[in-house]
Amino acid sequence: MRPSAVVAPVLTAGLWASCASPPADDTPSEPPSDEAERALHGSLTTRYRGRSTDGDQDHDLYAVLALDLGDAQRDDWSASLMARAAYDLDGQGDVGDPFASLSDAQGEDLDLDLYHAWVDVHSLEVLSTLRFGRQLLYETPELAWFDGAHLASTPRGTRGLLFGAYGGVPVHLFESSSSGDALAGFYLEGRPWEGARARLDWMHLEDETVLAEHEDDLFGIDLRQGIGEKLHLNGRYSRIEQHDRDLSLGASWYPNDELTLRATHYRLLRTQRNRSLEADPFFDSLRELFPYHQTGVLVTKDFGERASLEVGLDVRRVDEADDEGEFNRDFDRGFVTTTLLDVLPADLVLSLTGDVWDGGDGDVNSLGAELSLPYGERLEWALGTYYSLYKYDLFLDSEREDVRTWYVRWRKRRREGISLDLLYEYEWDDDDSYHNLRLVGTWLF
Amino acid sequence: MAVLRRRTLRRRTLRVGTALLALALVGACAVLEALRGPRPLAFSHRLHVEQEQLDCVICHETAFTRDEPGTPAFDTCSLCHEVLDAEKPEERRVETLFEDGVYLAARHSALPEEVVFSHELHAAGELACAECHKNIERNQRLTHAIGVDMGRCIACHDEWGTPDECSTCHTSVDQRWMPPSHLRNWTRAHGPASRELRGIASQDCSLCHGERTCLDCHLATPPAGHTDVFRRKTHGIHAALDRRTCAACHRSDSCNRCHLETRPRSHVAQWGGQRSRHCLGCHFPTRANGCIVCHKGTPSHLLAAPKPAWHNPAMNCRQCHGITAPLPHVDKGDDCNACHL
Repeated sequence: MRPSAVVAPVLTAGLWASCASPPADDTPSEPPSDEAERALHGSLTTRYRGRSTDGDQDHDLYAVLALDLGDAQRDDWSASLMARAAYDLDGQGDVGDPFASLSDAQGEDLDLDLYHAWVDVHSLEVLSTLRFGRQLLYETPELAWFDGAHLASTPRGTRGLLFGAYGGVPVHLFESSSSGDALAGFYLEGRPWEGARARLDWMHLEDETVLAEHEDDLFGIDLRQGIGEKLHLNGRYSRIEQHDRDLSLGASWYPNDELTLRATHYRLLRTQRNRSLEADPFFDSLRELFPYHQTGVLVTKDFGERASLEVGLDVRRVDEADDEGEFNRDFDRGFVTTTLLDVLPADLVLSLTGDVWDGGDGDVNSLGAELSLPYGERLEWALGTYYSLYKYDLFLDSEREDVRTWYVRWRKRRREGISLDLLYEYEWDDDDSYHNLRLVGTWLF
Repeated sequence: MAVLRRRTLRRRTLRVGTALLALALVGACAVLEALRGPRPLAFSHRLHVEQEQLDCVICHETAFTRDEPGTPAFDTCSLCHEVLDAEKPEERRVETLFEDGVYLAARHSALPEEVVFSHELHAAGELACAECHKNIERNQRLTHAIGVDMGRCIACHDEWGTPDECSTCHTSVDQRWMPPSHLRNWTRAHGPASRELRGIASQDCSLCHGERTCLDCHLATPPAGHTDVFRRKTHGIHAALDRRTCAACHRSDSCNRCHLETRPRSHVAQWGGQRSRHCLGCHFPTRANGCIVCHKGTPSHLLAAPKPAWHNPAMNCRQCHGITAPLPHVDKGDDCNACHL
């Protein structure tokens, strides 16, 4: 029996269970006892997606299960798991099919992805972390996603010094073999002086592909400094092999409760070519990534509790003008989003957004608006629209692509921990139009 | 030269754009400022506590005797302000802080009904007021900021060994409870909100969300902008502009896999034929473009017939070819030697 024959009914049952009628009494249910809460938490999200365009249709079912077992503060061990199943209900998605997507590229109707599955051991006082299984580390110079082990010592002394190490087989979801792949590293972390946090990283990557074998060593320094409560600074520098790789600097300033200013600067210091997957700059598709620098400013301002405004500006420049090309562009980007709460009548919430990319041969301008209407705490309607104009230079012609989207969303929280989302989206451009229907049930437990 | 001209033009555009954006923002801020709602009440703790040396219980009469600390009563204020306010304009008199005898700012520090808290129990111990109400003696405006942050509760409870369960202080809040901020517009607002975190415990995502929440959710759920048009057509434009943003979720294995298994929607019918427009991408003029995403070389061009032996690359092909009939190529013989070796 094909596994899909079993999984499809299970996914359907999950969706049905999520959508099941609420109890007659709509009041919140009694929370479970502390003992039960400690034992198991998690969520099950089931999503049906149906799409159609010009006679073609596609029907998919997704389920995402997340489980947390035990309490890291109290128990000797705890565990966590998150996995996704995607089932192609109608077997569409072949080459040339308008709905062919990444899930279909795996070649089976059923696509199972395990995002993480780890067990933490808390019984050793000298270790603050001892984790086995599939896991993610996001403070490493590149995201480390691997099957293996990770340990970190308990912070020591007034400087809170800790040492960590990890190693295993990297997770490459879209590669067919993990043969020859490996990942390992260690780090040192501490608070060298008042308000500072520093981290040194070394990371070794091995990646075997059909045409090449890559071995890369990354070295990273990360420094964060708080100056009072209102100013946070951060910097990060990394090397790959024997060469400088990149540098990023950032500052966040909170002059008062309603205003945040953030400035960032990123500089790629050396041309990046084919590397291990974790450090690869999309070389196979986009070729070399030439040195560039990018500076951004982001301002977030609240106006009481009734309105907020977010404005950002990014400027990117390729260091050498000769390096500018199809996939190495200068661009200027500006974006603004404002949200009005409790300003319009009948509790309507209005959100407006605009985004402008000026990238020479490829410009993108977008405008969007969403109007949502809550009914009490458990029901919300939303109506939104989005317009994007893509301007790009294809074979010396100045192509224009107008994309318009309208959507309506209905969200219902049926009782504590259970919610339903129904979304219909109609999207069209100069060549095609798409109908997209999504029904999502989420159960938190 | 073209690149330099483009850069100069872009800098000019940037300056003009920035000026226009600044103007628009000033206008938007003025409008939003007008919409901000009730103004903070102009009551100064600094004046009363630091300068006048008034004891807290003069205004908060039940701070040591009841669960609720109490808020100033009009009669109490009037003891001094009846004289002080006599010469003041109406809008600056103490009575503006009251409505129907109720102190208007009471809502700022009021705890939700579901919170279990006794001011008497906390104040009657060895705690000084400023232990919880940090910097209250310097406060000049009554806003929600004067409320005690939950982080202070947690830190103190940790010291005293009080259980750090939600149920220690809350009757209905647990890990499945959803804050009011999550009820409206949250899908759109959670990104900026998470960037605004300033160490305020009650706004700390990790109170309910585990270390993996962000990564897992973003790995399993594509952004709203990843629509069908984006998937089929326009994602390449974004990737060409800013591949670092793609790298937040994607790695090159997903690109390679999908591009290996799917075909651009332009590749239909006569695509690839001799008169097809696709040749222009490389030959008119030769330039790096989107073709190399999939086509690392041009193997089909190797099938082109070789030139006769007596031809050499220096010859002008169009002296003989294309005089009586057009060349069967869209580039009109721009670079015959590239394929006809």
